[in-house]
Amino acid sequence: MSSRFFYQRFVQTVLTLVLLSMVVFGLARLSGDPVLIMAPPEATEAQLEEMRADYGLDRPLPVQYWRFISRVAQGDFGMSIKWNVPAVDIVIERFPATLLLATTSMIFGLLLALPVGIISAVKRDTWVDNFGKIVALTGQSMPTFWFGILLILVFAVYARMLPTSGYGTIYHLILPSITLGGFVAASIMRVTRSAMLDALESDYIRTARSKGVPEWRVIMVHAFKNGAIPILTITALQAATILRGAVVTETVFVWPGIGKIAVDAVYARDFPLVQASVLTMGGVFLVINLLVDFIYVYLDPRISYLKK
Amino acid sequence: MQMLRAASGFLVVAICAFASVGQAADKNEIVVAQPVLRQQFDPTVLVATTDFMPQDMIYDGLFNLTEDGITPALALSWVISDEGKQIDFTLREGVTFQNGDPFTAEDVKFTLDRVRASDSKHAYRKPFQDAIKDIVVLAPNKIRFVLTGPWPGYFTGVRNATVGMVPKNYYEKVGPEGFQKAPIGTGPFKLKGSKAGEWTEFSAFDDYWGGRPNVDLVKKLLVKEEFTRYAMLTRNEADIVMGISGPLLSKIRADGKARIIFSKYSGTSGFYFNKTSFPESQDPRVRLAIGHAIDLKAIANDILGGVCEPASSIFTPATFGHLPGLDIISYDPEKSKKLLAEAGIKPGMELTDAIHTASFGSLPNAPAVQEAIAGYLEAVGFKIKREPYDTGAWLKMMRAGKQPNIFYGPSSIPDDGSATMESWFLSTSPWSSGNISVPEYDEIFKKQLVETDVEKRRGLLQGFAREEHTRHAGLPLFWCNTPFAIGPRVKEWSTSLGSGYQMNLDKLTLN
Repeated sequence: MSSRFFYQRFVQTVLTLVLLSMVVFGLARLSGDPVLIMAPPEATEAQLEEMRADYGLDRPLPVQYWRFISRVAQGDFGMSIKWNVPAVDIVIERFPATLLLATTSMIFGLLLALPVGIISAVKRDTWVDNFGKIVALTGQSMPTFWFGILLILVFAVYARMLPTSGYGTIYHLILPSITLGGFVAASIMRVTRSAMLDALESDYIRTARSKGVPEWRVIMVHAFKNGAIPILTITALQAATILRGAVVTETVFVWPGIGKIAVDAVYARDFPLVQASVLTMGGVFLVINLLVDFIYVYLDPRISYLKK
Repeated sequence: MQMLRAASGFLVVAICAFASVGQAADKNEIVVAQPVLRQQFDPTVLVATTDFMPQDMIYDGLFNLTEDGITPALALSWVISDEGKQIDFTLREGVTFQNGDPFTAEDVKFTLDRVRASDSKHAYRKPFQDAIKDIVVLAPNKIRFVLTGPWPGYFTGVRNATVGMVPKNYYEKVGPEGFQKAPIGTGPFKLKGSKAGEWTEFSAFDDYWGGRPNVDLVKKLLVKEEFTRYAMLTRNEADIVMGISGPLLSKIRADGKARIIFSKYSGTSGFYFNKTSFPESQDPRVRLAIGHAIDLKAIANDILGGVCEPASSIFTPATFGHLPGLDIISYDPEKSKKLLAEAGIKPGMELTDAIHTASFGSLPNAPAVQEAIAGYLEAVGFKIKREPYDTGAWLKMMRAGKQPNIFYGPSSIPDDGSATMESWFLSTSPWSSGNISVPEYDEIFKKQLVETDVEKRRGLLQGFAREEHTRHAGLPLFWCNTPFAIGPRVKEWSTSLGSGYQMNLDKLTLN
């Protein structure tokens, strides 16, 4: 992997982040005026103006953006309007919880999706395959919040096996991880199945089998490694889905991550906090994409993004 | 590879932090799961009405407004003189702040001077700025308010009563920012800790003048999802749950393990008309017809789960100025159609209706209620075009005076009838934006502002209620209560009147 490739992708990532900052800044302003929500009903227009001045919302948008981006460059996203503390502190405090949930969810998703996807491909058009397809379809069709509520109802309210929500023990992690992991598993399962089907019909697989290579080795080494690129792609895309899904899952399970605070910030028009949380999530997504690009090149040396 | 190592290191830190945090409530602690959490702890910098919720734990006001009327808090008694322009308070002696400082008249002066200062950040500063000319300390336990004119509403407005007193010396030492981080009051609970947007913990103040609270610790948790709050209650993960409505409320009632108690008359709601875009509404028959078209009782039972009751007046029975004995507009669709026909309204007339997609405390389950109202209006021949608004957009629309043809309006903390009048029924009212312009109402409002005789003032406000009952400039919809679902660990607890901001958790006892 050349340093030029690394440099090019890094610059692209930074430019994308700047673009994202503009979009987030613009959309936040389009969503409405936070002062209208915060002020009591009796507040006069003069009081509203005073509040806007306090938060710097009375200045022209380009001035607000320049102020915002120059502060962000120094790691300062401003004070959260609703919580009255630095927005970046809130995001940093919550990031480990989101990372933990995202990681366990992805592990759960992969542990479910890969074996089912591979077995479905190997046992094509059997009841096992049909079962796998039903699981994938159900997982993808069911809204995350609804699945989460069902899990709380069954495992916490009726079976009383697990806590309803919160954060603190390994048991608190199970239901949100299944909710989020189940959602991403469906897509990974589908792609794994089709990638494995393509791979298993390839000439080199027939050659391997004719040479007497054990079937498990044919599937797990020859076919799976060659089918890995689309699986990796969908897994990386699902990492972004996990961040998106975390917004809902964290709210349902009272998980103290970025997603939960982002929802609250959006409803409160808490611009600094919306910007800090969305940019952080966007940054994580871009870094994941960057890493995936590098892994592509590692997995398949024929891939190069540089112009010849 | 280094990035991978850094990421895995971060994950290990997250897991360690995860394993070290506990949440379960201990024996003498309670957990309150609520859909709204505010963490504005400085009572001289009140931003939203909901800021009273944490401040009520830490502070005391001069007096309390209860079902039994005005009861003393930090002020033991008061004398009004000089034709209502002077109030002398005698303060409770022997009260200490949570840092050990004694509570004196200097603290009252300092607090209220901050509230009424020209650069004050207190949301309800205006009445204090307008009414108070000076505050004079007469003795450590005596203080005088010198007023610009009579201020009878001071003793009937909960917003006045709930301004918490702060310790002057400590506040001056730590400054506003320091005080927000480590607030000190005379109230029953001390701030123990908080996490922005997650939870706030309060511990009992041993030397509280009203007696040490029965519980050692109160943890208030922000739980946005209603079903999760319900599930927490069923598992005893929360002892008090706020913001439960509709089917879940019925489920809790049917289950029998948890109880429901109410903070009575937390708000009213009314239905209003845009006189410019819907000029036909200025015919009283049309307004009455719309009243007859809506089955308030069915909505109260089926959608609001009995949390609200049909209102006969925009003033609740707990509102100063309430007039007992008024009738609720009966549900009579045939009469409604007849009145509409008499007023020349033809079936199929299109009206736009603002549907607020969230709920204020004064009307739970507001979207479903508004949808039901729209349905009832369609049943008598109107064609209703629904315009959905989230809270931000709804407030913007209302403040800008761009109300559609018909719209609902909430009135929270209806402690004094004049507050509801001022918000909705005057030609200058900010929320009705000139759509209600009745000279008699403006006149009554002016008179009650300077009437110092309590009963005469009550009579004036009752006069408004009587007149409005025949005029129906706005249609009263519901009187709502704030429900609290309480788990089996709670033995005894009752909240105060109104919005539920005064939770009286110091009086709560556990089994």
